[in-house]
Amino acid sequence: MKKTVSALTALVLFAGVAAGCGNNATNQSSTSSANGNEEQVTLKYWMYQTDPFINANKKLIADYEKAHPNVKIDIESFPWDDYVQKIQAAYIGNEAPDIAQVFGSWVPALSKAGLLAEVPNKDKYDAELYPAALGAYELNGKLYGVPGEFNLENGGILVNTKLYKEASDPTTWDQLMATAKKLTVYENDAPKIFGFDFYGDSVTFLFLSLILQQGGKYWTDDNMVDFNTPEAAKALQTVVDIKTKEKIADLSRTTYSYEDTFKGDTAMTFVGPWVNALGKDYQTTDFKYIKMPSFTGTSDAFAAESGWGEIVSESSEHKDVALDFLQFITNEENSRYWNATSSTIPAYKAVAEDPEYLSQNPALKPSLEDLKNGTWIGPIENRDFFFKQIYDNYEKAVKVGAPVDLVLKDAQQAINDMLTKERSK
Amino acid sequence: MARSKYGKRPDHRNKKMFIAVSLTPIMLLFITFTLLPIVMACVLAFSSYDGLRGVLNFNGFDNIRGLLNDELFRMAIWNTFRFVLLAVPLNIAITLLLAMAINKVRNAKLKHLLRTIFFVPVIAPLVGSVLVWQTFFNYDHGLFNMLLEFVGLQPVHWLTETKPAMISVILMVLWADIGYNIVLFMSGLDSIPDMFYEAAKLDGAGRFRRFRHITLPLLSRTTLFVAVMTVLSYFQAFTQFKVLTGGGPSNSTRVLSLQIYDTAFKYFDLGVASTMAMVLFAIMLSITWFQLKIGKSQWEY
Repeated sequence: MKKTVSALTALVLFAGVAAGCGNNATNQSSTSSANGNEEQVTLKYWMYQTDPFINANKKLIADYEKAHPNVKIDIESFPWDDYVQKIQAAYIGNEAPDIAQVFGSWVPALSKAGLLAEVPNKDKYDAELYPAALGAYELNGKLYGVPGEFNLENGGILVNTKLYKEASDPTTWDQLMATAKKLTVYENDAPKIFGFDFYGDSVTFLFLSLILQQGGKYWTDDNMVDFNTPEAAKALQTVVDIKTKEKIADLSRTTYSYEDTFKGDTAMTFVGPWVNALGKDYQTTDFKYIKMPSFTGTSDAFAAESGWGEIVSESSEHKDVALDFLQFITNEENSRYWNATSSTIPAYKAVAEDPEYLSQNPALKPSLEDLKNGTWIGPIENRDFFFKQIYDNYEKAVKVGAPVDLVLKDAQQAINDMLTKERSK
Repeated sequence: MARSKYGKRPDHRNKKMFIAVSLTPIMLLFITFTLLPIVMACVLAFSSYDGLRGVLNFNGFDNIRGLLNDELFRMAIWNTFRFVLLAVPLNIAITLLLAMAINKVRNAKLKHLLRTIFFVPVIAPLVGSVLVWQTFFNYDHGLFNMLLEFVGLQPVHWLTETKPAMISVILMVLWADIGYNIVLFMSGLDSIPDMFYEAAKLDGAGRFRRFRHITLPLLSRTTLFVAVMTVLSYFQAFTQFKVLTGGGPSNSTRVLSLQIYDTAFKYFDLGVASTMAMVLFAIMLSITWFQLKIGKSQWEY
């Protein structure tokens, strides 16, 4: 009741105003050292606020500071919901941190606007990192950041072993559906315990992976989306059928499906391997992570977004030092430590394929073996818009029975309009 | 009396100085955080703005034309009106009845206690309240479905089916909001002189006639204020939708404020978001003008 009429209009411009209120520590980060020879440098480092990331980064920063006594790195961390807005506002207001650990899909907007420093030694990274992890950090043959993570939302299924009972791991798509049906418990003609479920962004990842596994593609040669293919229609129909025809789950829940699996309300969930680290939050060990069967039996292809990685601001007063730190924190040895501490999938091929790393992280086996099948999701420009269009149209097909070819046409139109608009900027 | 060289009294000049010093901070705040954003939003509404490159291109009515073809925007307008048209009358009816009931309580302590109880949700943090209500609406373990099952009725998908979702939000909003209007109505009821009721009683008027011919007309100024403020508030309702449903299911609770937020801060299209904000502003201005026009009263007592 206390809001004013102007609140919403003010809200629209908050990003611009917020940028003006930003921290200007960067501009004051350089002072002469006591001995006058070596310049004292203070770098501002922004990152996502989650304990595993903070713990890993703090240790690596301490190592760098020890090796470079004239460099001090100040960490600021932000919750997921605020972070992308904070980053955008900081760059708009020319108050960007010297270095930031950001999610891969946020990077293209910054690199296209010329706001990121080019990272040297691109050829080395190209050879050593998975292309799917690097995708969003590249632009016009140059590298504007280095990923520490292969963001994987595919390839595996979280299983509640209590509900699973004697069921054996499905190795084909048909077996997956049959097992899910067996595990589904009905009440009043509706599934009470879901046999196999997925939620939110997983819908898009599942849909795209089913297109790729049929040998199809969803990008045209001029980088526009093309869902007008038999592979796309079959893929979406399959995803829709899981809820409407197979009836092994429905859209009645507002919780994350992996939460339901941990709690025992869902037997199997299509989700990324990061979920393995969350079991302790639900105080359960009654789960395992198994390989997702191929849709066609011949391909395990999937699309992946680039994961968390490091970027350096082009306008940083200490760009060289920041780039030096970037190359330090993303070298193979430190990436290995960061992945192990933060429970993330390695972007380095050598780390992911190292038998020792696998033996230390046995739960990641299905995922690590699958990384070679990943391709970068592509130049989707506006991540949230892209995912929402696919989810909204999928929901329309499930809830009101809209024909799959029609909703695919709508999704394609909306996404291509967005791509055209974004690229004309 | 000594006069300054400007011909004004020193105390008059001091007074003006005092006014200027007192008002400057609040005016600066008002200009920076209210007036300037409104002016900038007006400019952005007719532009495409790329904040990262710092490029502002005037594009005339392109944003408005785009919105006319935007199915989601039309849906958001419809949902906003649906919400306001259902929630405002319900709010006013419930709060007026409760205010009258509480006003009848003779024990002053009990009266204050009841008013306080109804006001508590207003001062509770809205996000916290919404999260609590989210658990009430849970299909499997929520309070409402437990009550329905207790009386032998089928459970309801409160937040995941399109029809009950808006009703769920309205229930939550009413609970969170009614305390404010109850206080306003109670003060309005207190200001009606008892002599009108006494005279009506002597003339043999029953409860309903006293309510119809005394309470309602003499409360019309309070009712107008409550209606205007509630309509303005509900057109801008955001947190309840953002946290409780996120605009779902199938965008059935996607209201304008949520669509403006997503367009501005998820899709970073500040130009189109500003156009939407202007549309919302124009709707609210028109409705408020209309309310003030038809609610104008000439009487006094």
